[in-house]
Amino acid sequence: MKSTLASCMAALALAASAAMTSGSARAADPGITDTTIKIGMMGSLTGPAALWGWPTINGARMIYDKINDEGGINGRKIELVIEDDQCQAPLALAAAKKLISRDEVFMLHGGSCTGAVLPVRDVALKEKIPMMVLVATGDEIVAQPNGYIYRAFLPGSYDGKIIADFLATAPNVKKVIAVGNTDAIANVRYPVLEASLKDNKLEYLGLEPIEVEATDATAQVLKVKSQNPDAIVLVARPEASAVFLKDAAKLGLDVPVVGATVVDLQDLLDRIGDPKPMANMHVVSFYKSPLDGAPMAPWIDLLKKYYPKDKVQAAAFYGTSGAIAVVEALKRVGPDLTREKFVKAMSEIKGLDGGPMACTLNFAADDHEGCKTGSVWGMRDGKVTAIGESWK
Amino acid sequence: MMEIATLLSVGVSNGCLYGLVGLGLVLVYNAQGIPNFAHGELFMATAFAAYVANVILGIPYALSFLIAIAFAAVLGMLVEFLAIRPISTNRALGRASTDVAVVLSTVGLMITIKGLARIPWGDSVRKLPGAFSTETVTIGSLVISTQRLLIIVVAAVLTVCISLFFARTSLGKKMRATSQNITGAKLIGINTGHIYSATWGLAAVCGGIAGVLAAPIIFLHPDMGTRMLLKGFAAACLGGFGSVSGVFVGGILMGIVEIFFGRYLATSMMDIFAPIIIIVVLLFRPQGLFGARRAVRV
Repeated sequence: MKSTLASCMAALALAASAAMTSGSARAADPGITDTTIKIGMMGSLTGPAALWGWPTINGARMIYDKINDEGGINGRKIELVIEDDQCQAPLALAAAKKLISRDEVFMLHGGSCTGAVLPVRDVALKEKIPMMVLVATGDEIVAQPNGYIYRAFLPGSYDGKIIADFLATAPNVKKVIAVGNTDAIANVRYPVLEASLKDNKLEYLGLEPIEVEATDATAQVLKVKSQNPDAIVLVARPEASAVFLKDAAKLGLDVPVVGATVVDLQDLLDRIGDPKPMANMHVVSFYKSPLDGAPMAPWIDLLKKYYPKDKVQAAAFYGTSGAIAVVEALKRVGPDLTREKFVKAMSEIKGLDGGPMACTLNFAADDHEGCKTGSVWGMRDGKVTAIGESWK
Repeated sequence: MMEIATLLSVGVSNGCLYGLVGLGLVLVYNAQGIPNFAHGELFMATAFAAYVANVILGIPYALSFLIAIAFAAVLGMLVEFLAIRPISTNRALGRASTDVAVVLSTVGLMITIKGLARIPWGDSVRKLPGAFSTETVTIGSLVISTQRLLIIVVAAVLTVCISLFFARTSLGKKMRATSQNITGAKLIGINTGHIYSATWGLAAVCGGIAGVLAAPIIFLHPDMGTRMLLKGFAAACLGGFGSVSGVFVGGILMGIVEIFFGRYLATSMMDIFAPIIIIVVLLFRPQGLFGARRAVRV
């Protein structure tokens, strides 16, 4: 009888202890209930960088929507709270603080522009909030020391190396000039580009700046022409890139142009409306193939299923691989979810298919850049075509 | 030599756009003393009106142009009637408060019109085709955009028309009378409310024409007017707020100096050129290059 009573007491104590442990874990890690995991998303939903707002957010949401339709993760459905940061640091900081403090999200998945995300990085690291970067490419966002912030697409500096390696394979290219914006998105690329060009024994003629909202590039085109480069690296946002390419064609600047991941070839073609200025144009891309290629078909179908009104464009899938990695880590943690367990699971992801991305995702405790491979696309017969399978 | 000619053609056409935008600002400022911060949005809205007519509805370019200009005139008059007049005629506010409130109203309009434009257009960029199927013409080895040639011709014709309008027409003379002395204008029976509406309509037409002409070159998006507003202010400051032809010359000077500055000194400085001009002119010649100092009896 005594031993039975003792066993019962022990079982009760164990159950109470387990309940208390479970309760304290939930209190310590907000955003988790028995049925939901709350994730805070933020991006440039309005403003000049809105191209990287809803399209990228919906590209991530479709993964969460799909997992919810399949019953969720370990019985929990993903609940999203979405905020607009307009790619402005103060707004991004306010959005992140609201999501963390008022909405009490479990983690953040967001950030469209490097300059806006950098202050959020400090908050996420201080508060120990896991964060998946949505589409901001600046290296310093994910740089170590960093225990909580991850990225699942090609970081900004890497396309500088890919561009240099690609140009090194082009015949008769010895002198290269850069034309680009001078904002945080572009600036992160120039040092690696310059170093990689030098590593490939290519002469770097320097940078010719063009404003983000440039409406005319005559001065830039004539300056570039006067330096007689063999190739141009274009590190400008879509509007400025389109203006530069149009003016270059008009003024007879006819050399190969390689664009960074900030532009998409099809999007440029749509903007310019004429394939002629782009005949000699290539861009580094995140993706496995152009949008009309077979590898992109399932992702386009998924987007059409959940967001049928969204335009099928390159920007639509920038955030997809991040959501794929988040879902994978949440699955690996199991039902006893905590932030610390989540970041541990994230850091253990190896060889995960990056979805539409040209890379497989590999994270480590001391390396949160999960994707280090991109692809290069060019115009062939007026059509966007992948040049080689992937570039590192 | 060809490079100089190319730079001149682009500088002059850009300058004509700045001049057209600046002219709209000057008209409203001279009539009511209001710096219209929503003028860039009238530029943007008219360009989108042309886009709807030409691209979406498939109306021929010339007719789309006219529809857009009519839209600009109506929009300008509506803005005056709905957002400016109720504030400027509100006697409950003191004179200084009214002036501030009206300026703030134009700032509010700027944000509102831009926000409204985002509802149907989002933030993606659209392209309005040019007036001509041939994009460029070649003279010797000089390549000139046909759209830029059109901008120069239209701006020159418009300058002459507006000068004649103020000098020869009854409405133009009434506008001048109202801007010079509103009490006197009222005493001789001019309906100043109508004059203000007409002035805002004409100002919006100037900005709107610039918008439709610029759209094929600079792409359409809800933020396209903000940058042009600054350039228009700079052109008006440089030319002088009191002179129609002065604003055009100011705009052209600005366009030329800006592009030569970018080509031979630093392209990175091109965009700060407009605010520098505004500051320098206000410091050293506040009446602008072609304006006269206004004497005020105290």
